[in-house]
Amino acid sequence: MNDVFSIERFLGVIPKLIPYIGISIKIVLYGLVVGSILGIIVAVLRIKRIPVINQILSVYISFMRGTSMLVQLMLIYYGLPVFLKSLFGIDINSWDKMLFVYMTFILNEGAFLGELFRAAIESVPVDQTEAGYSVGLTGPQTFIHIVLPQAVKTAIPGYGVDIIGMFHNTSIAFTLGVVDLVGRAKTLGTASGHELEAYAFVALIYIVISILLRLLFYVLDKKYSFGREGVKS
Amino acid sequence: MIEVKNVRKSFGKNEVLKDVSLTVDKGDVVVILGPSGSGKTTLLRCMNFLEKADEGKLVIGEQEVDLHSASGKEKLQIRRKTAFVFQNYGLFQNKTAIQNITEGLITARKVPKTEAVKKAEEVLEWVGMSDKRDYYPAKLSGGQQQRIGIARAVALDPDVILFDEPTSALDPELVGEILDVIKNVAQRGITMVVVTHEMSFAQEVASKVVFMDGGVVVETGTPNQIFYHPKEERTKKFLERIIPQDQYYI
Ligand SMILES: Nc1ncnc2c1ncn2[C@@H]1O[C@H](COP(=O)(O)OP(=O)(O)OP(=O)(O)O)[C@@H](O)[C@H]1O
Ligand SMILES: [Mg+2]
Repeated sequence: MNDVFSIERFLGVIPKLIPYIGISIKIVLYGLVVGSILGIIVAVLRIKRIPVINQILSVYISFMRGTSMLVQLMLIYYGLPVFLKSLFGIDINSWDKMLFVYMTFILNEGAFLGELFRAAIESVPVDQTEAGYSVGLTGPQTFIHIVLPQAVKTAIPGYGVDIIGMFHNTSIAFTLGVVDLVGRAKTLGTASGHELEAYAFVALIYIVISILLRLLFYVLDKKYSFGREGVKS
Repeated sequence: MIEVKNVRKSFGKNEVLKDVSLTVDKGDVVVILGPSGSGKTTLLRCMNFLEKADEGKLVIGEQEVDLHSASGKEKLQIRRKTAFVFQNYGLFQNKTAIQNITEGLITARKVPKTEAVKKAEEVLEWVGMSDKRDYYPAKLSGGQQQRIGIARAVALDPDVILFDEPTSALDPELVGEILDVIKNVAQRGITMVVVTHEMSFAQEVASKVVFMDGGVVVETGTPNQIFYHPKEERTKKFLERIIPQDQYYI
């Protein structure tokens, strides 16, 4: 077992893996963009505490936070088609598997970000809203100009951690046979008998992405510091 | 003229305002005095719809609104005729000093930006904060924040400014200078209602003093009447506690 790692093999796997980064990024982007929109809706609905809807959302959030993404993916992939077919007669069995992966990420992110945003919005002191009203701003104007920017500030660190976590989770798509970066590394490793090089490259990619995201969130954190020294993380 | 008519407000079983009425003439500086818990803050908050009264009417100029059932549009109209100076300054934490002042002008009143900035610079100059123009509240002292708070209210050019204990969160050595700023507002002829525990300020600046206790207006009069010739026993008791005897009889 001297031949654990070779540079040639490492360089050799790079072109075979690079095309699969796109799949991971695509999953993360869907989760991030659509999930954020869903998250804002969930947060606002939760803050309004509308009866029934609040209970439903509360169950949804507990479920998404209390079960693994793998379970969620399985339920959506196997359960949703049966559910839709028997209830509405809609056949989605022929859908692209990627759609089920996106859906899982979106629903999962909607719950996580919903809670993150809710906590962030509720952390803004009421006197900020009252000050907004007192200068004659409407409710929505106060929310958008005063409350939301301050909530964003609070949510930024959690958001950064969340995105990195999502990257790590994209490999669950492999269970449906959707090959992402990790999935491809696994198949390459199995085929050649040398797994380390492929995984080393995957690790490198994750590190680069993490650094880039950290940088981005550092800049965002600065932008939203409003004269306060940010807590270094 | 501003009139508050028959305001009632309870928090649960606690009846905080029991049929309070108040008249404020144009240019008046009405100082509201009263012990802690007498409902002073609640009254001001009801006048600005930050609290929903159970009953009562508010008249500002030509407009009369119901303090309990005003529509969203009416609330907005009233709020755009009034301004509030908060005990804890209430500055927008995500806005710089000048943005705190321009926000209500640009976003709420649709004043063109250049005009709003010009106006804001003028009031900043007036409260001595020009050099802090682009500072966020987090970087300002309490006294500086309250100067901005007052400047923000004045810039809105409201029919009345409501002050709720504007100096009580400040370090004692800063109180005097902020009171001077507020005196300056009074000298501009701006109508104001001021809740304060600063008796000498009340004597000096008020055109009318209102003494509240237990959710009712006990007595109203000129500073001279209230401080030197109070009619009601409760007023006398309160003043005896607040003002040292020697000063009281000068
Ligand atoms: N949001 C609230 N919920 C419940 N009770 C309240 C609320 N706000 C005020 N109160 C109660 O109403 C009463 C009057 O309070 P208010 O703040 O108006 O008094 P105040 O005259 O301004 O007193 P202070 O001089 O201490 O500021 C108090 O008994 C207080 O506990
Ligand atoms: Mg008070």
